[in-house]
Amino acid sequence: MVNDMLYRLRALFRKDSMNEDLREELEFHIEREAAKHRASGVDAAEAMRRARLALGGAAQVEQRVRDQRGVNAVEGLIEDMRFALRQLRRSPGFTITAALTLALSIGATITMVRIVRSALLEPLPFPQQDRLVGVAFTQPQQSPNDNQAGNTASFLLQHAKSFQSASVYAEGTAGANLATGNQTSDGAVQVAIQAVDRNFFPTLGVQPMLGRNFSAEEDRRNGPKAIILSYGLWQRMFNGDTGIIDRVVHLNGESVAVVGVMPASMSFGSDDSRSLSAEADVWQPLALDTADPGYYGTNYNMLARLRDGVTVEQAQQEVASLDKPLYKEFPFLTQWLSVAKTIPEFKLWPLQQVLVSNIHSSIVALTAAVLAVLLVACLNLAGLNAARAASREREIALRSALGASRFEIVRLLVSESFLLAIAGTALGLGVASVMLPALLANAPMAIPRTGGVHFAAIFAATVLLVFVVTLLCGLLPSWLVLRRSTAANLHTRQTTGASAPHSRMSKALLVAQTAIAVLLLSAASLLLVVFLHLRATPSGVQPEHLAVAQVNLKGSSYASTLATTQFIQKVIDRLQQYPGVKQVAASNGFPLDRGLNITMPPTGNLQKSDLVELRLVTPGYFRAVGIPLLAGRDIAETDRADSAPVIVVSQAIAKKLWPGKSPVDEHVKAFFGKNSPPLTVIGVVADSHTHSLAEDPALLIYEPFTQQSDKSMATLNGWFRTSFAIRSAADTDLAAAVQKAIHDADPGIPVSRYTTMQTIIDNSLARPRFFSSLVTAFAGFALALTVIGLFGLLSYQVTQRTREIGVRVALGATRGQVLRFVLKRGLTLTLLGLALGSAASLLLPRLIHSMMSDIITGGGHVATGLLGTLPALAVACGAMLLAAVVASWLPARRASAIEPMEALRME
Amino acid sequence: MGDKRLELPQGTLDMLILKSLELEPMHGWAISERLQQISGNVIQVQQGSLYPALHRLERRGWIKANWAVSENNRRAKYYELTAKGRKQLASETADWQKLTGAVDQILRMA
Repeated sequence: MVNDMLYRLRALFRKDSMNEDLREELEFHIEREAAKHRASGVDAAEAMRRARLALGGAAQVEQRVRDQRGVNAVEGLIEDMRFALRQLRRSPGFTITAALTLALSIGATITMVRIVRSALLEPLPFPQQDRLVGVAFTQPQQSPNDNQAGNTASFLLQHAKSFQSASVYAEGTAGANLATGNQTSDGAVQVAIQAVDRNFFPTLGVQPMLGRNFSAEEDRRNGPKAIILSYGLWQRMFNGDTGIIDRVVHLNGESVAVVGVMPASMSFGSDDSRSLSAEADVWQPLALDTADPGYYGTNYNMLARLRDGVTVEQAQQEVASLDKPLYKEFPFLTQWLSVAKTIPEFKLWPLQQVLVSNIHSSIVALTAAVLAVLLVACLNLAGLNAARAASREREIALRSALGASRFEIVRLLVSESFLLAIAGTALGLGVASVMLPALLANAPMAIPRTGGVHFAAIFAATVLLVFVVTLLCGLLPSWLVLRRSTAANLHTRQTTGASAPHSRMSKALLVAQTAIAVLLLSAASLLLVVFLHLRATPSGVQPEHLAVAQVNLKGSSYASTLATTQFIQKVIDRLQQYPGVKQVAASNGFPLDRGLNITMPPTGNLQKSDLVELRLVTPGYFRAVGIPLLAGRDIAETDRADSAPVIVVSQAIAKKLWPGKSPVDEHVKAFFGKNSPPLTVIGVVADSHTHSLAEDPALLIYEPFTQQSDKSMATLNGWFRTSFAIRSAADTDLAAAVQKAIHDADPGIPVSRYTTMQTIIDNSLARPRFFSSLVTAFAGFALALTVIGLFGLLSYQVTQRTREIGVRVALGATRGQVLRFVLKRGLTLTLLGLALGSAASLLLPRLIHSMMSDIITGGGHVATGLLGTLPALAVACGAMLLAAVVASWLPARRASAIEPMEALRME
Repeated sequence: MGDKRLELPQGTLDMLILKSLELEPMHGWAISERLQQISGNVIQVQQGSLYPALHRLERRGWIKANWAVSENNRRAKYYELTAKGRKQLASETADWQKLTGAVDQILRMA
């Protein structure tokens, strides 16, 4: 077997020397045979003749020996390749177009393969990661997640039997102020802190590299204060000092002990979207307790390691069986109705799926778009090939008459596509190496960099691509050629143009690619419409000359309303003296930023499920950020802790609770504290957006800082940053002034963020902008390809039918009729494609809608008014029709200019 | 040439080539001569089929070829039996004898 292969390889690569040897060998044979005859007395010439006769023609023997070498097929293939190469060289326009088309689409495909591989399929860097699951208490239709309320998580910890160990943690990080000096406030820096329970690291299977994990006491409310450092922070702040364990540092002004340092692997690549703790600098114990504010809200996450021998399905069945006892214990959970009137239930997924679900649909959508483009490119080439195959019918017929087998003819036809596919893929690899970094650099979501280059996967994908592309572009048209009786074609003269099946084939291909292009176009215009709509959506604030500074007021020093308001007042006073500053105000929770949402006790028209956003503000806040006051009055200095409690509501609430009348002087129940007096509405302000421009304006309630109880103040400070809105006369950089004002007010509080309102708005648009521009680029590419395809097909047909058109003109057809006739052909095909594509896009709105909500808000609820399927489709069809007219116009013009005499003389 | 010559049965040529190479390496012409002589000119080896057969055997690794200087001082391609070829010859010979023995038997009995 091995010998056989080696021999064949030699026969391939050392063909010439082998043939030389064979010739010499046969010459020697004839020489000896002739000598034998001469010895028996025959003259030299006759002896030679007899010798040659005996051997039976050296050339035939050579051929028979070569047949024995078993490389005929390959040699023929190489021969075909050479021929194909000559053919491709002869039409450089076609070749370059095809190669570039393929290069771009294959490059994009390879890029997506790499991203999918590294972002969606890469195993998590934990031991036996496939045994890890994320466990959620969630609405049945939700994508994989691990959200839990405190009580549901505790219920699972008590009752679930499928888990070897389970951990409750908080998925996000919060800002905290960490100081390392002996003074509580010296050199405080802003760090990102994540709360995890003591089972978090053991469940994941990660050991601290220094020190230890949290103890049971530390993970209890009011237990000893401890933190664990991330490897990155340990290097940055402590220069990798191994004596750090048991050192006391100050977190938000409180003394805490450093008990451990986690290895670098815990934050597997800080740009990895799947990381549980990518941004965490510091971990602190979660200390889950019923006394926690937010214990009954979905503010926690849960992951678990399955017991040995328990499958994900079995575990899923077990947690699902706990739903009923859970509702029994907490009847109010059955009131958590979603819009679809479903109640949440226990569900679990492999942890890996949970961690990629935030980018999953975006990546899947992009991949689909890329594959659609690739398909359009292939159909395009197939169409061009089908047209070219038509012109080669006589050549094919001749070859088969000379004894070429069907297989050989297919090989000949496919070899061109194969060469193109190889060239396109080679170029595509180059394109991908440029595309991937560019895409990663511009992506608004964290796509993990390829950990290792998955060479095998990329290679397999590449080979598969070459194969599929060759098949689609080459085999399809050539199969068609073969279906025709080949002998008949020898006698036909190419006068009537392409034969019926060819043009049928070309047309079908064109219709198919038009349909796909329309689908892409409508997806693109849907996204574009959404994006433009979002960009035009007023945020509700005036972003010009508006700077935002944020701080974390955490820890015991800011557990009271007085401390908080004093700090805020100091900062405001200092900033207001700064030249150029017009207004300064503070708020807990900023527009397009996180803030407290609560389900209000139902009053009036509020449903149990209506989420109300609560914001604490200082007097003058609405003026500072530019939210117009519509009725009543603003919160004033006179609204103090000892005066009547007041609120300002947004228009959306006013409409909901007091439709058709002024809400001023109406009362609502207090949110915190059973016995608090009711709150009086003193004013109504215009709507603004809280989380994203894609969502409907929130139901907003504003309260003065001064009227908060200490308890709710401490809670709010623990959850959200305090923001200062600074409006200046011109765009001046106030960073230094802000830094100084905050430092003067409290040296232990670092500035956690300084930015402008415009930046916040732009960032909220980053995802839709990225996706709409990307998909628009794809759609544009597909459109261009379709135009090229249509133009090519029509031009070809006009050339083929020159004589027929000439005859028509000679028989009295007007120029206009000819023009219309060709245009009609192009437009008919386009319309067919349009109809198919539109039908397909109409089947997809739900899919696209769910995709959109993911892309735009990262999973939030998109306001329904945003998605205009029909306008988007109209835009797509319009673009396609315009393109079709352009593509058909030139060939039609050429056809109408045909001179009958010229046309007839062509024969 | 009045005597009748027999065509070789299909597939026996390979075996006969291997057999004639059993003693010493030979070049193609010598093999064809040898086959004719030994069979007393009964067997007609098509010289045209000899060379494809030789190359086929070489591809299978049963014989290997070397260029050497021949008895008449010309470069000639000498074939010699490989170890694999020897095994092949043994098994083919055994099969052949079984077959011919059986055919013989039938001819005699019938």
